[in-house]
Amino acid sequence: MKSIKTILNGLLYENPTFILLLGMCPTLATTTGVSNAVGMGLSAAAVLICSNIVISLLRKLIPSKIRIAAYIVIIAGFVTVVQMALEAYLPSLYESLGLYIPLIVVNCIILGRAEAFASKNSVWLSALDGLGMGLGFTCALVLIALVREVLGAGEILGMSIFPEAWNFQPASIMLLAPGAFLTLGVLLGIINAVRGRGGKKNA
Amino acid sequence: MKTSNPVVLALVLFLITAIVTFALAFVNSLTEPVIAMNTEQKITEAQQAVLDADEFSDDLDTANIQLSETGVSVDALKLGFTDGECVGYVVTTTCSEGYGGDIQVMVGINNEGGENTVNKIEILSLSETPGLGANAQKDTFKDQYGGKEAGITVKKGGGATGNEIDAISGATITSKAVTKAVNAALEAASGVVVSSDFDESEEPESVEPESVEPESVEPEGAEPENADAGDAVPVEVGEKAEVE
Amino acid sequence: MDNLNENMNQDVDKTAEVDTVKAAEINNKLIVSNAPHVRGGNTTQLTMLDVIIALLPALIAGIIVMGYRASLLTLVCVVSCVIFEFLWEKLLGRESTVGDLSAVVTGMLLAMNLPVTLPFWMAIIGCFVAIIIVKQLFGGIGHNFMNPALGGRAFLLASWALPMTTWVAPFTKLHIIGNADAITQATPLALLGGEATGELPSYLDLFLGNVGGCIGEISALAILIGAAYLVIRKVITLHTPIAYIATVFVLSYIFGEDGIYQILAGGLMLGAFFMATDYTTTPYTKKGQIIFGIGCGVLTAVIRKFGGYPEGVSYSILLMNLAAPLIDKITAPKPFGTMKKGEVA
Repeated sequence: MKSIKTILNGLLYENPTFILLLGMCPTLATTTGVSNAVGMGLSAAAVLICSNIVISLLRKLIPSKIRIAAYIVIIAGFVTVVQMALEAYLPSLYESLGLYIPLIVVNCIILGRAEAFASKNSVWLSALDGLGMGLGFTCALVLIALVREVLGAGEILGMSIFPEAWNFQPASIMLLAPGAFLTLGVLLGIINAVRGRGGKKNA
Repeated sequence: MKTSNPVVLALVLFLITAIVTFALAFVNSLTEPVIAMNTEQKITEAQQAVLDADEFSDDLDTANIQLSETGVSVDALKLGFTDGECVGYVVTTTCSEGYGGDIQVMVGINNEGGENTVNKIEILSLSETPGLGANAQKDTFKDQYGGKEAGITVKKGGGATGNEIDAISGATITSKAVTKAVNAALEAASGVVVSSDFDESEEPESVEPESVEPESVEPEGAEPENADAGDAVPVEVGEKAEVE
Repeated sequence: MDNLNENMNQDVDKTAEVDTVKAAEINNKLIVSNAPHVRGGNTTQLTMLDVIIALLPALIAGIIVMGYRASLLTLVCVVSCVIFEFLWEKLLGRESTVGDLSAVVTGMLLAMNLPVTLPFWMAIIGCFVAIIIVKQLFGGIGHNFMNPALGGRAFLLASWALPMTTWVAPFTKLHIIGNADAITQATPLALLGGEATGELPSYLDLFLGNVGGCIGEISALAILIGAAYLVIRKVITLHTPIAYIATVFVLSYIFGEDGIYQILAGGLMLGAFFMATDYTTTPYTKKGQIIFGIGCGVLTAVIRKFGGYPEGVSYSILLMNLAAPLIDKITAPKPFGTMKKGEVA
């Protein structure tokens, strides 16, 4: 039914990171570790769900001419709330994510879904869309972070996963910008290949 | 709605902004005290971790401290007392030359017989790359500073001896920034003058420790029983008087 | 490279009626084809073979000075590169191009940019990056946007900074298999940059190769012999190397450094003759090549003097590789007969 379809849409069929290619900047920057990825993903998801709900509630009341300005104010409001909450209750995450928390405001996923979905659909579906997209974003971030953290630091969630005896020397480049682009590029290539796109003509 | 009436547009936007502002003010009032408490608690815990002392003085006025290097500043300086004697300092410094920005370090310094050596350090704030510069938080790195004196240098490639520390592999910039912060702390501490005798009329030459924390017992012995309550006296770097 | 002699062949008049015997004769005598009709006999394979031969003196010098492990490391790199290219093309169902020997050259060049003590598994990963990521993912030979060997090296340097910057003293005995632990000695450039303490080698040391460093950058003499071979065989022209080396020489003096030391030390010779002359990633006009050489020289001198690294050759060449298409654009030769705007014939 429609509700499940909406959630699955955000999670899989129109995954914001791998299919829609939105929000690339935080994707590349905050996937240096799984805990950062989860933190960023869930923070963005929280903002997305809340802003989708509010914007959907107000969709008949916001004049079309000022809708972008209004959406940004609402989104910024929620991001600030998330930022204050993180600083108060999860200070270590707040410090690791640093600048990228306020940057959630300009994360294209949130404004994009506000414009494309929340402004045209019911509150319930908008909330579900926020949930699906948020989860899709989080899963994508975690996937990339897994690759980068394992190859770049030999750890997951800050804990070493290779036995001492192996003397595994991680490739530091994976934690830096080139590693982010490489991981994202390779993953996109694999996903496109699986979807049967790219190069060959397909039905 | 499909109106182009500028009054309506302005009004709606104003309303939305106003509501959001009130909501934020409300959330802020809830979180601000928590944040302040967190910060204070973090400092108190760190203080205890870096210097083994029974009690700490209040913050000294660090506005006039001049360091020999740029890119680093002193945020706070306290003295630590055990059994009424000043056993060392806790200096918090920030170096802006980290790879990802400011690095704030709290350094516990032992003062034994006039010699200042690092006891322990805690990194209060760091935004370096995980797996590289962020490894500065690991004990294996921080513990290197124990026992070092002023003028610590960074050695790449392992095998540090004497007053050197080993840089984190692949994170030399971070290692150098932390070292700079620690050196600045040592420099600031070396300028603190502790004397039990003071003259109220003269000021900037020497510094007295602030009155000790309220819950502590009045210190006996060589401690400044005549410490002036409330006045922060500027700390001068470079001059040292004997402790009487 | 090809000598083009436009040879106009006659079109066979298709309406001419000839009986079969005569047709056979005619088929043997008159050939219909498109230009070029005279080929120079150059193939990628032959060019690559020339490069391999030219690299041998430097490789041998590296083996003599750095020990037998150097030869094994080179072998591992060459074999890995070839295998990776073969497997990739097989995976994608394409015709195998390993016969053109370009993978072999990439392997040799990459090995010669590595310290002799590098663990073999790291070198293999470097080969993977060079062949698969830099070369094949972008379209294979002729389509890569930067030098594959240098791309692999840059990846290795960023990933494993410490093993990639650990060098041994010349003529040290090393274990061939297994990870080599030996007394480290800084390279000539590191000594100059103050990163390590020690005596600076003499010019003769630098020229002949009595110094530490990556396998291929040891002996300036060996590199020059190889370069001379390449010039004689018309594989490379001297525009880029001379522009590159001269720029570094001049800039060194301007920066207050010893020019002769600067051009003899480090990977400059190897880079200038063997990597800044790669066909795919460097400009194709003479003017462009000179600009390319000067650009590399400026970057190398600046990185060496002011940057955080003691050596700047790899990064300079990679950066100029990125600029090569632009250089081609501004130095594109004007077709014969074109007029400037506003000119009247």
